[in-house]
Amino acid sequence: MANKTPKIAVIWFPGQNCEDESKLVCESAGMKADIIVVNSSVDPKILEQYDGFFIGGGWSYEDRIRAGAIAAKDPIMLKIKEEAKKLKVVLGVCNGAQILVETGIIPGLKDKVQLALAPNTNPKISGYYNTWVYVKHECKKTNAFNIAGVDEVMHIPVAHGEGRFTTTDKELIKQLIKNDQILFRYCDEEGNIDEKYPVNPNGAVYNIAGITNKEGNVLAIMPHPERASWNKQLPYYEQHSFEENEKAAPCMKIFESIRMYLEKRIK
Amino acid sequence: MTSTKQLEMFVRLVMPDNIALTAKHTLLKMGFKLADLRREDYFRFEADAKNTEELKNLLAKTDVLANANKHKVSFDLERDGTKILVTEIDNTSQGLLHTLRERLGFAQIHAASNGTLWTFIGCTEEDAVKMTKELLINEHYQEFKVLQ
Repeated sequence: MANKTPKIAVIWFPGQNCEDESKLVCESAGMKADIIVVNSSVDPKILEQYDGFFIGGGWSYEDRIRAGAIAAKDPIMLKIKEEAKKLKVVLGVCNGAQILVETGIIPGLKDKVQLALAPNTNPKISGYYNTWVYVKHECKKTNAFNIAGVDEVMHIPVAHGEGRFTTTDKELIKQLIKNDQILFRYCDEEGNIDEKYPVNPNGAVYNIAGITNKEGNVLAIMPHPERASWNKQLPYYEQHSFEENEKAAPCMKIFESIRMYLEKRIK
Repeated sequence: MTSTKQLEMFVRLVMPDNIALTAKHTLLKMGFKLADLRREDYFRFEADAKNTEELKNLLAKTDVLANANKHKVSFDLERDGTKILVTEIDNTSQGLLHTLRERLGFAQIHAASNGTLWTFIGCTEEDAVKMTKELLINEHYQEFKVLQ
């Protein structure tokens, strides 16, 4: 019997701007995707019909107060928190990651905010910073996002002003490492970790680029995998023939992984 | 030897402040009660004590810290409501100091820091602190203090 096709809700808060590319990459990975525009008339119950949620990039509510702070208080996020407990997939990219951190869903070890995505500390450029970086896949535990092999290096763009994972809880990073919750770390082209700029583009503690919850069904990632899922999206010096450029790039594995995880869950 | 003096500068929008309005409406939706919420950019300088009035005048007119077309600048803290100053824990404000000293020529300024000053109207100090913790700061990179 054929598997059902997983359905993803692409959550679009006012001020976000990645909804179309987010929808496209989900569909290209073999899932159905609808864009859900968040406004006062949206009933959060609409989310119950979806198997997963993709909160994309942009500036929800113009980053008023700080990135993700207002969206994190929206009733729709309470519903997503509830749905995540049912082991549905939640992917937060860039501003989506900031929202997940501000709700406490990531890292989700306590019922409170345990992390911040603070303003970048970059010795060259203050504020918004936009470049290509390398991230290394480090998680050994099976989760919804990791069909990529351990130590696989991906080339991926970052574009943010507040992307520095940090915490005042001195034990938290040890706990995240112990739980295998740190999925991606900034590294150089060969996969070597260097805590300094430019390898670490924003000063993130432990070079963290992406963190999952303990159960492995929620990921907050600052770089944009949806902008590096085809070879044609990679920098020009990595592009080849027309045929090669139409093929999937390594970041597509994140979305294929989500589809495979959900197909197992909903069959 | 020239002695130093501390200056505090408050920069407020004269037009509707969308950030303060969004914060206020979010707090009301979260169940808090307050009549109004104001926001100001806060700057603190350590500068040579002589000619402070001239320095104030120049700072207000730099068009870097404030834009005369949309901001009102004050060097005195208004005594209304509960004042809560939010700052970043590890922000040394070196960029601000560098801009003032090296780009704008304020050699008489030796130290500078900045933050956001929130004024809560129509609520207790206890509630203002609670609202700050729940919405206005992320304690993993920001801190606050109540200004008396």
